[in-house]
Amino acid sequence: MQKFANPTLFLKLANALLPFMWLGLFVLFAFGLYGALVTSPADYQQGETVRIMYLHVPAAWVAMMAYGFMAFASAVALIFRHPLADTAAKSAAPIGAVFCFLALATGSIWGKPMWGTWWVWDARLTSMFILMLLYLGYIAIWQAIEDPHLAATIARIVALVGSVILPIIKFSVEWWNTLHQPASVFKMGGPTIDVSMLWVLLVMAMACTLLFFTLLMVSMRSEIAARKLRQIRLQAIRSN
Amino acid sequence: MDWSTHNAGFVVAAYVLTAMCLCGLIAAILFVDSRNTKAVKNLKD
Repeated sequence: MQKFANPTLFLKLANALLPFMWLGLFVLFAFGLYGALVTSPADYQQGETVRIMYLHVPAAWVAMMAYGFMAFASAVALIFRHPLADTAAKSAAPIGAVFCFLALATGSIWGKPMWGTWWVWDARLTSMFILMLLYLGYIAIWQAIEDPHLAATIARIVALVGSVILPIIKFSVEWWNTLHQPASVFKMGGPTIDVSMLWVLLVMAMACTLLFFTLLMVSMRSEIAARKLRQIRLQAIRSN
Repeated sequence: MDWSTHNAGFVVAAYVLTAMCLCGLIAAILFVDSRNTKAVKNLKD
């Protein structure tokens, strides 16, 4: 992993991989959306509203994965002083926040026709809302603190401490009585969703995951460029 | 998909909102990336 700590090597790798990642995204979203809106059947209870699940569930998975990634990158930054780890965590935050917002918003749009309400303060929804607040707090730290070293130190701690919310979100539907349904894909005994819906869900999940990593690479490239820009400007000021 | 059902509006709303958010996110990230990389190139030159 230390080999990829070199930003120049990372940029080379990113520039080589990105065209294939954009192509993969296009193919996966084309297949996924075709399955979600055309081939997959309406649910016997939810009717057409089940199609919202193909957006809601992958968005929630990616929101949680992105925060897990941030916590992992922060741990790597703390332990190994990996020069790209903080950049990776910082770049992942806005992308994860958008996915978290989408999970909350699409869940709310699904909840109105199915539950009769846009929002309830049940354990799953509340813990997901706290994840959204953690994302916003993390982004605010980088924006509010001018000293990048201090910002990085505080952001690492927030990301690591905040990761406690991830198992709470995952098991909230088992630990408490919730209106939100329990897990139906990642559970003991295998998924309980019909194959005609499951493949669409998995393709959409792969598409959203690939979108996360593609945007992460672009965002990291941009952050490395911004860092270089700061260094060049500082050198110019010092030499004057 | 049966567009005549009452719930189709909720499905359309969810897909339109998602498309808007993701397209906005992609556009913002690509815009900042192009601005930063161009600025570094210009300063180096």
